Amino acid sequence: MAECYPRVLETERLRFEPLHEVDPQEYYRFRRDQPPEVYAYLPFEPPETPREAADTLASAREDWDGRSRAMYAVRPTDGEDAGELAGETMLATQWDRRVAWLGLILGKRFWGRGYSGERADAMLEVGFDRLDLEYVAVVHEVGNENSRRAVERYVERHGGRREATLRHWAPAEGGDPPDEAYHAVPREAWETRRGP
Amino acid sequence: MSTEPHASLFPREVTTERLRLVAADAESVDPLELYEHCREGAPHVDEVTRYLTWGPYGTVNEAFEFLETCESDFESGDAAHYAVFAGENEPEAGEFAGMAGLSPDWDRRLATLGTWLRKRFWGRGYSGERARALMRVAFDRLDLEAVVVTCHAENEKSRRAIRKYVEAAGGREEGLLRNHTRYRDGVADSYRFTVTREEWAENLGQAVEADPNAGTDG
Repeated sequence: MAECYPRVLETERLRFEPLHEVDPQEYYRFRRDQPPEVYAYLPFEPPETPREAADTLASAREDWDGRSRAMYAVRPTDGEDAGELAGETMLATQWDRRVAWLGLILGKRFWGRGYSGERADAMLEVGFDRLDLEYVAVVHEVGNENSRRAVERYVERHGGRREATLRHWAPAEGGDPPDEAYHAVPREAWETRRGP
Repeated sequence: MSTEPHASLFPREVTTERLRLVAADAESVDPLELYEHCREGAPHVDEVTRYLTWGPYGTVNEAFEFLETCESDFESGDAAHYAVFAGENEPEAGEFAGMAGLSPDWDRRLATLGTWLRKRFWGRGYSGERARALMRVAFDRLDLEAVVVTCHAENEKSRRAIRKYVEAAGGREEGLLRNHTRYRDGVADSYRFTVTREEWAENLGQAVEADPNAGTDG
């Protein structure tokens, strides 16, 4: 059966497969074993049980089948980490607005390699070329300097920009929600830069 | 204890210096009059609705349906839709001037405000007056943390008016959201503005400005 989201994507150094096909045990360990830095700017905690991790995978499958968002497992394809679960990335499709929203959780060991930008390049291509959307958008928490650097780099490279600093954007889970830096890449800018 | 026979989440009526906001339903607003202002071909209706999320009514039934939605949203606590009437000292005392809405998002602890006015009521600062009154409802009565306003990116008039009352309350324009809102003519970009509870308290919270509703729930 034809699928909305590509099942497999490959970039120079990375391979992406549906997150819901990852072995639940492997996924649980990946999430559980990350140091606190990885969760510092995420709106949730590490899973407390394998069951919790399995539930996350189940909802990823539901969202994939429902075409509301694609969650991919990210694995390096070469070097000593080849095949390892390095992270998970999201492309959420807001169809009625023609916007794709990106997200990424990268294991600490894989930070600083430019994987985020490489992944974003692939996701922008899916959002614009395959899914025919008009904008690719991403938010990161203000103060998350690692994300800021990574996001600014790929957003600017593709002709987008930081458009707003949003307050009270995410749900308030006790206390004030953090401010979010909102970036968007318009389809035209992306096409211009890609060339013929 | 409240002495209101039907206590509601939102105030049924909010009075300001020049305006009276009344929870809209088929009693407080004559559906046939609403239709006259909002029907296709009504004077200035295209200009009024150009940057709104709805377009002119094709049938009288749409006016009834809209007011029914207003009533059920109000009763369920989903949103307050007020009919705006010119106050008693205004030249058009008691006349229907437009609508004003307040939609709480309890998860995010914020309220989104919106409004439209008939063209003859433009340019008088009614929108700012209505916003100040509903900000007070959002912060004082509903205990929310922020008030959000958005406008169509090309709606320069609204943007100026919003910026003025938002900045007076200590808030700010945050930037441009791409394809954020489905307007009458399709999806378009919006500017987003926010005022936090702290900003409001510091700038307007103490103002005694026209709050005759204070204390009615005591």
